[in-house]
Amino acid sequence: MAELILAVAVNAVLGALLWAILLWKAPRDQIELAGPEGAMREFRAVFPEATGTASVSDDNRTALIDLQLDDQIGLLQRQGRRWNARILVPYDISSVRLDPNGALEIDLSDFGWPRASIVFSDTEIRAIWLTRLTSLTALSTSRTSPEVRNA
Amino acid sequence: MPDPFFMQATTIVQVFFLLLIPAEILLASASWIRAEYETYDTLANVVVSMGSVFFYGSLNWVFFGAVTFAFAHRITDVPFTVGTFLLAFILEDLRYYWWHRISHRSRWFWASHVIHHSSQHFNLSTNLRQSWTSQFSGLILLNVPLAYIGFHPATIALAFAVNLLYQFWIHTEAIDRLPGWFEWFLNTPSHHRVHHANNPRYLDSNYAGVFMMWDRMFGTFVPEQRDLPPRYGLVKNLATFNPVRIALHEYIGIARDIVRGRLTLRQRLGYLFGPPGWSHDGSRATTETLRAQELARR
Repeated sequence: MAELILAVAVNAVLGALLWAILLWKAPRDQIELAGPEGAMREFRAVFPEATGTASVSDDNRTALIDLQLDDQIGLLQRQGRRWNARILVPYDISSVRLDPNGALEIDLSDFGWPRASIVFSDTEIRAIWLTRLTSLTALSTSRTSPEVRNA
Repeated sequence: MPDPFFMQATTIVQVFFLLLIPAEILLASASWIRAEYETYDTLANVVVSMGSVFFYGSLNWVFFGAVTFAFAHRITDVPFTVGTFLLAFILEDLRYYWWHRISHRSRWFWASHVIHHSSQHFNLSTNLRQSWTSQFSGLILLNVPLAYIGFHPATIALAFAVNLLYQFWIHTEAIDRLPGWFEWFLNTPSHHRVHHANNPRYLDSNYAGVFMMWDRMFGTFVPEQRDLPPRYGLVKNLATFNPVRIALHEYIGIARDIVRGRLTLRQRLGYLFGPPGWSHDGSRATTETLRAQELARR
């Protein structure tokens, strides 16, 4: 038992040391999407064949991508200093809503990527995406997409 | 049985290795070596490591129970000598190879191992992301044959510890390629970068712990290509640094899949034990599917 506590304690000390060093040395600049073209470039790094148009959020951290298919929507989101990309199909979305601040709140059925919050100040774009996402969510009760998606 | 000194020595070496992590950060920040660290990712690694140490240590009786039982029914006695330890080490590495391969090819075991591949960075601290559930995934039984042959449980534990210690230094981008004979014979940072990559061409390859001969022998060796830089992480990357989500997300995914309606028992078992990415309707992609798609693009 003492060895176990010691091993956990060593990790705790290491964590504190690394935290201090990273606060001092880690890069502080944040990555951001360089417009719709930049978003498509990042999305294609994961899905090389993807075609469509991206709508980038106001904070340049998230983008929704119209893949020109009824039952697939592309989602790109910043995760630290990396970009996560996913092709959403009906089963992937559990709910979509508009919060009082105007953000699109997407709850995903993935414990490892539970939600995405996207702010579009352009109300027209916001309304279009709300409709698209709601339609995609509705499809999940009727079927599962036959298209191959990322594993 | 190995002298307790050897067990203590592995602990000391482990602490020394841990100190290489801050050294790598500092050298990288001075642009002396190549390494990329991200604060939350690194802290998640450390917290995951604390959980791993806690759960692995608390449940160590599972490992020792299994090997002690097998050792009590051993077919012969293998004395502890330099030669027999080397033999145990090679056999332990063969066990590791198959443990690793099964861990990547069946979703139940992948759910335990996925944690180690969940970072999108690859540095010395990545090695800290170890499983919380390895003691009860069932693959602990792969340790039984060595004990049944007659290797003492402490010898097996020592071989296992040395194997894991070897694998610490290969989690780095700071070392490019080593001399050809070394790259041919042993696991290296280059081989292990390939193993941690999610590029379709690199998926499910280079399972070896120490000796690359297992991958060459069983057809899973893939060399790192200059024109294809590894992209680290999972096919479906995580959007969280929360250690609990990192550790348990695949189990939750399995549970959600097997309770879905209108599935046969065989399909539910497919979601449990099939390869990661398997689905009853082909709506997801396994490694084979992703590789086929990538080949079609070339």
